[in-house]
Amino acid sequence: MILARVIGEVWATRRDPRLARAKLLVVRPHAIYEPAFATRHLVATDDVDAGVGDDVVICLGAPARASLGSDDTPVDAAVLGVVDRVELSAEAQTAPGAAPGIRRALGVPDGAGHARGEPASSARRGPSGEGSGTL
Amino acid sequence: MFLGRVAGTVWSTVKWPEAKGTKLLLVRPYRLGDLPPGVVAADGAAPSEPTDDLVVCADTLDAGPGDDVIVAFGHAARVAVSEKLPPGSKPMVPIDAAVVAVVDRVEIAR
Amino acid sequence: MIRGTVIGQVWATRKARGLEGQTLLLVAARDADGRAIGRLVVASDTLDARAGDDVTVAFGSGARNVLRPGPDNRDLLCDAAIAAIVEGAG
Repeated sequence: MILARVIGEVWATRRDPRLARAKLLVVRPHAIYEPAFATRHLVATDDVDAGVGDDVVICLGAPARASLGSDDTPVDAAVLGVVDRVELSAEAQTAPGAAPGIRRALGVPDGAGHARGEPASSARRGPSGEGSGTL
Repeated sequence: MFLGRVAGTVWSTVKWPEAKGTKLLLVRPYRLGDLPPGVVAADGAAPSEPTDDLVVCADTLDAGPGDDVIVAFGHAARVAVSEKLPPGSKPMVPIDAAVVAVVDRVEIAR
Repeated sequence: MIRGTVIGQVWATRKARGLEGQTLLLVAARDADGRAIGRLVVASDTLDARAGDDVTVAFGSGARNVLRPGPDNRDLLCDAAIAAIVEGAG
């Protein structure tokens, strides 16, 4: 799954019947593990009433079909939940790794509102906008 | 699957009863640039810079920040989460990434 | 599927039941020109691949077919598997 910010909504009357009346949100991933996503936004089904400005967890791929109750739905991205809090751990940066020679300076991702290398923050979600909030 | 470092935790109110109570961890995948130089010819390999590829993963093994883990994607993630459900229940949960192992040892050939 | 080179192996005692008995190899992914792209994949191995071997890795349902071919393999915990050990490529 990935973390994303809800930036809008899509309305469509003419749609695959298996999408029924599911809400369709436009989300901007904070980080993405699929390098092909050059558009920097996804349309995801939403059944938890997320709103614009909310940070959400997005499920990608075939398992996202389960969000509408059946594996037969034409869905590849779904809101799993609205984020209450994100905590990045400072000790994760210094714990010895299982692999010899693997060292990683784990920085805080851009847009977190503070510079790389600072201790982890567990601030609650702030007001929406570029670079604000916990992420 | 990928090898990664647990970097943090996500708290989210999740709607599906099967997924309720599932811990969500933030995992940063290791890349080739994290390994000692010379393991593989470095031409074109991505540098060892922190990137923004944090993956949110369901956790059924009580992994914690600092642990090195293996994460499975897609249907395999649903299979892993279903191991914790009552036998016979269909894995109808929208989970696409799950921690499937906490790593004891990685051996890299030189 | 992607191409890659086996660079190591991963061991874990604390793991999901579905991983029991699987040999897990660490593979450095390569692009079409054979250049390492930075991505690392952990893949199940049934072909006795060794460090240094050039391999192809299958993902998803294709990976499950390497472990157990057929339509009844949805219970397998596998999302990546070494499908072939490459001898040469043009």
